[in-house]
Amino acid sequence: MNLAQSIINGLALGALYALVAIGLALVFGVMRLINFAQGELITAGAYSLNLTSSLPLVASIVICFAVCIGLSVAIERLAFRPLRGAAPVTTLVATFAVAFALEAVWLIAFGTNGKPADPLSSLNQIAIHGSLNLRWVTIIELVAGLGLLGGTGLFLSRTNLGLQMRAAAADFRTARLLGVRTDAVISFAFVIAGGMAAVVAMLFTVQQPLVTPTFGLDITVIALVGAVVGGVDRLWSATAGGFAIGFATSVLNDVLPASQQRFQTAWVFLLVIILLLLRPAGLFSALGRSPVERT
Amino acid sequence: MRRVPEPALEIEALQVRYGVVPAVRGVSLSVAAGEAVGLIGPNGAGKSTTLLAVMGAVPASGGQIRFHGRSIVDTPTERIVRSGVALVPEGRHIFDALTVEENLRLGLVGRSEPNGVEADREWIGGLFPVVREAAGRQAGLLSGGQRQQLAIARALLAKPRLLLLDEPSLGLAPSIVDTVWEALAEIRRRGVTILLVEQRAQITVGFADRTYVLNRGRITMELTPRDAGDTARMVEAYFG
Repeated sequence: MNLAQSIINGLALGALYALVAIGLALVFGVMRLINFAQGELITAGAYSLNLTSSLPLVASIVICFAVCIGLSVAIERLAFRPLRGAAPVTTLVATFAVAFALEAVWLIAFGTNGKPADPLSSLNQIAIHGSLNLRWVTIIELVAGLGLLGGTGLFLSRTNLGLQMRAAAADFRTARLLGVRTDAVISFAFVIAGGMAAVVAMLFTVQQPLVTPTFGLDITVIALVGAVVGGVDRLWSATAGGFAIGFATSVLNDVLPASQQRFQTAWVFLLVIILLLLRPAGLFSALGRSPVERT
Repeated sequence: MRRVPEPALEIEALQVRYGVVPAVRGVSLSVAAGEAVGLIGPNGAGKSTTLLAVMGAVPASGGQIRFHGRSIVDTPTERIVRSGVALVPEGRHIFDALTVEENLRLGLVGRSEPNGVEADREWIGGLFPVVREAAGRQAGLLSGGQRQQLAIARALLAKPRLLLLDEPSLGLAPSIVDTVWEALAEIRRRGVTILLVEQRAQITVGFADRTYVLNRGRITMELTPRDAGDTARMVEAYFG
């Protein structure tokens, strides 16, 4: 595989991880919480594509969004909202509990063997032939990554709700004292995170159409590592970190010799450790403010 | 017959605890509509906690708080704000990463009166020209005095009927302190009810219609503007 092809594949996978990172960073911003259950939203979306494979594609997509957003909001309402004001470690443990509980549900309902989810498999077809082969899914991942990041950025910077979300992320208590409906702001962050999970579920099943109970977990853990490396306290740095780790994962997969490819994840995490040793506050910390402390 | 002003804020036997530590122990006070009332006392007396309890930001463990006759105990903060109570918090709590204009827009979030926003902006811009001039700047670049003016301007955009101020002159240069007190006088003339927590006892007592002295969570004295010039009385207020 030539280097240019490898870079394009890396950009596409990076965009996918960046979408996961956006969802994680938005929730972290308003709740100071790493939501490990984000991966289960992706898995739920992927299973919904399996269950609706006999329906028209549009219906399948709409249901996928409804499942991911509905589950995301339900998790916030039922698991996290009652813990508002609890110690951060309590809420963190709750996200693990939700993630493991949902994983058990997938295991009981769908088994370990995996279910095919391929309503969007046509996106695997080559869109552009030549020295570079571009599949439709690659193009859509790039467009979706840029579009959704740009859209989220515009939403945060140009709308009143976005302004309130940024205020709540910077200083939750003062935002409340100004009358910001913090419950609504948090719910909306979970709505966006659910929407991002649906997009990731749809695009990821194109590349990996066999859905297992840990389908979304793996990609979320790697995206989370990327977000932390970038700086999870800011949307753009978390997204850039997610993108960078996706890009690195893909490119390493292409450039490593065959004998080394099974160590691909180990190489990625070695890079992560080196980066965190050199820049503990995040890869992009020097380019902006220091990390925000919640007051 | 003199008409008794309607009480805007009534606090009765308020108690607040932080864990097992009592911070406010049975405070009772009232602020009539249009009045300016001061709350002074040493650090840790419970002044800021009393304001936070009015805002619903810390729970009352006992007692009652009424705003224009309605109990606001256990009411969510955002609803209290929309009913017409605004707080200028100690330390200003400006959003540094946002612009001055964005900070001001956040003041509008708690406003329940949709009309008259532009007129209020004009008035507030006149009170604090520096805030108007810095609208496009990042708030984190403002000086301490500018931040305080922004914090008051932000609270005023909510069009509060009751304005709570927590140490508005703390850490400010003398010239800025004068600006802030002049602005408070103008806000009061406009009919906004004020409950003011301050360390500058003499100025506060001279400014407010009544000033309560708070010590160890209890009200120990009530002072009038006449007491501002009475040094012995002021010393007694602080040192008992």
